Amino acid sequence: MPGKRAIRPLGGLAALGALALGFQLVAGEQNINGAIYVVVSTFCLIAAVLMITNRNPVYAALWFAVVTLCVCGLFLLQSAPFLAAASIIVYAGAIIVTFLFVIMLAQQSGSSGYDQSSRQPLFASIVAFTLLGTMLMTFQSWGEQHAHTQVSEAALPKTIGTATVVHAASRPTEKEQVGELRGLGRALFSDFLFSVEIAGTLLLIASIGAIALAPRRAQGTL
Amino acid sequence: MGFESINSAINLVLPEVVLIATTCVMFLAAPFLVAENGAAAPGIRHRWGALALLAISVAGWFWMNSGLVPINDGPFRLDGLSYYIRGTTLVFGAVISLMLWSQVDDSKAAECQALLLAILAGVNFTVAANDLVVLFLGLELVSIPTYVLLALPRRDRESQEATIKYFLLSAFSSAVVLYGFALLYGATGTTHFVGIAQAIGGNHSGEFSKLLPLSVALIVAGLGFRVTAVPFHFYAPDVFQGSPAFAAGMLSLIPKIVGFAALVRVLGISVADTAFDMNLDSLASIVKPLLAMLAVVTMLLGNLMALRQTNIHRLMAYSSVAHAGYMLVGLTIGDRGQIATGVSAMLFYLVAYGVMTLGVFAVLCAISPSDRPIKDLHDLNGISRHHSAAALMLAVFLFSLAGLPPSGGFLGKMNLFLAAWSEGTMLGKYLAYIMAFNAMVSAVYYLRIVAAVYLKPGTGPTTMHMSAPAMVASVFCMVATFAMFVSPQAIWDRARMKDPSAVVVVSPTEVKSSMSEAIDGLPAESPASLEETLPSSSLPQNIPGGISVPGERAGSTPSASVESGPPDSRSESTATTPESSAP
Repeated sequence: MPGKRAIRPLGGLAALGALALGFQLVAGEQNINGAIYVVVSTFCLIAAVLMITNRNPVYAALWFAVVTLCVCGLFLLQSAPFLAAASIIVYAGAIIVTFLFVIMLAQQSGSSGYDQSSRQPLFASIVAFTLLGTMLMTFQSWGEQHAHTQVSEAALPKTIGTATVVHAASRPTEKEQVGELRGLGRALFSDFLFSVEIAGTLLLIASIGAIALAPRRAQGTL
Repeated sequence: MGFESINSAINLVLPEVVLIATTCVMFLAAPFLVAENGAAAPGIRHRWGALALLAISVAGWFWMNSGLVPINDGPFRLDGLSYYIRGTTLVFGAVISLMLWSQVDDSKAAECQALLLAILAGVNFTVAANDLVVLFLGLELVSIPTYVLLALPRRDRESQEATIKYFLLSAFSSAVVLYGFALLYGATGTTHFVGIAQAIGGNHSGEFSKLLPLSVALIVAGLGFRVTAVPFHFYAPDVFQGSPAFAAGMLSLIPKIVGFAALVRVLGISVADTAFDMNLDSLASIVKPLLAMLAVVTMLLGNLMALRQTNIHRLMAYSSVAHAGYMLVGLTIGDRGQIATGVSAMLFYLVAYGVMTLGVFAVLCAISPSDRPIKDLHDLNGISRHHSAAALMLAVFLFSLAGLPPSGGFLGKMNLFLAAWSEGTMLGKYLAYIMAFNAMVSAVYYLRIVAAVYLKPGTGPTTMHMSAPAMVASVFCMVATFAMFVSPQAIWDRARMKDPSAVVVVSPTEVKSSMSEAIDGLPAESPASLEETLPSSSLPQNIPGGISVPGERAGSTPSASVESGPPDSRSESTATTPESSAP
């Protein structure tokens, strides 16, 4: 574990800085969305750096899960709850588990370093408190309707510079459909119907290709 | 977008539907025709090959009966570029299918041919895309079957190394392209090309969003991998070396077609929203210095590295890098150029390059003994004594690659040279000079192979085994090489089939101003008036094929003074029909 000693203070300092910055924003502008944005995106960047610098593939996979969770937080801020939920299920759930399976199957011999050091109280506390704080902030802003509409406006740029975007394709037509499953489904199966079909073809070819590539045993079964 | 345009969109992609349906049928049927131990009935590859050729022919029939469709708000766009590239893809797909015919086992023939069909469909989706999402999915529909097609035929170490290298770098480049698309979406707020053009075009101050240059540079970098532009070419020699000849031939052509088609599509987004209009308002203008630099470095390094190679696959890999540089010159010139516009010269050269490069690999496929493929240059020594016809064809292709006169390669290089020369800037003149110098350098290593084939004492394979389908493919390529020199008009007309309303006559500034007025005159925030927003100035006056699309109406703006090219002459282009390549 060469990098671990260096990672701890780095992560702690970065997290403290992010929290301080976030609280300063809260105190300064009374803008809870801004604070959440700063905290989540800071964690996202830190986790991304740790993901690509960590030499241990298991830790890298776990940092990738953190990055995904933070990005899901950003999706929530953009009032896209379905996208966030789907990303958590697909990436933080299925893909990470697959990664870990592959890593564990690839290193079958011997016990690895991360089997012994599963207990990290300081780090666990930081993460837990962050989670608690985020949840409290969410509850606090639960009833604030204006926050929701504000985010919806932000999610829909009507103008680019001085230009007005008048094209209706690939954007929800009505404001209340933003982030709703209904609007997403409508967009997917009307505007992007052919894209969905092509993506389905792509998945079919990828899966058949994987089966075709799998080595065939002499007995005949895979 | 209305339901009519979605419903009618299926009519625009009938060739691709045919290809993908055949792919599914082959995937489904193939496992039942393979025994438990993995062996298939001998000779079954002929049936699969015939089925693939049949599918390509049917797709080609649909392609020939497809017409141009005005730029609409649907998911697909059928303009001159789509028409040209789709036909090119189908013809070369038939050639590659013939090359693949005898190079794979009977038990894997079905999957390989099916994957090839899927790749062709991916190219066609990419070029017909009217939306960044469809464009990206089309690119992936080319990449993912390519990984499998590289790994499937053989299982030796070289082949695995080639596959892994191509897989990792291709996935990386796809991620870069996707990042660029995401930034483009962030800068314009839509993934639809029409919407992007409006978002950029409505910016009268000429001040682009800060994200635009970054996104375009990322897209060029990611697609530069596909076309093997120089900083992204590292995979090419190793992958070509480890691949069978048909796969190397496919890799030298198909990613280039799809890469350049996507580049023209994305970089051509401009105010006027005409696909080829690379004028000062298009995204290409942002990265013109980058494109010029890529072109120069790609040409020089490709040719200089090719001089040192002794493995013919590596040599052809560097040769394909160099030719990508020539085509990038055309892309840099864009829509300028008085005698020949850059993009049309590039599209013409794409076909010429495909004919001669696939020809070289088809000859290699044809004369390689099945147990020991020809890879080294000295395997070709004195091969003219055993395979006089194959040696003659190889010499023709190499002369054409070097750009010597009675061949399509000469005409293609001359078009590119004239386009660069007549652009009217110092940059264009320098690019033309560098291109001429490079063509001279490239002659050295191409003619060295010809000398080995004809003058050196023979050490190569002496068996008279010839693969008949590959021979058919190489004969077709040779005929096409000469045909492109003797009567290039049919292909040249297609390559120049710009936006049907022919911006040549109307100066770009006029189109721009009329478009700006059209955009200005609109009430903002009214999606119902979208169809009027669509560039009515670029609608063709007579739409062949008659696929009606909402929003189609007679243009009243500059195109009225322009004769759109008579689309009836399409049937004359028998040189590009896939049927002529079928055995």
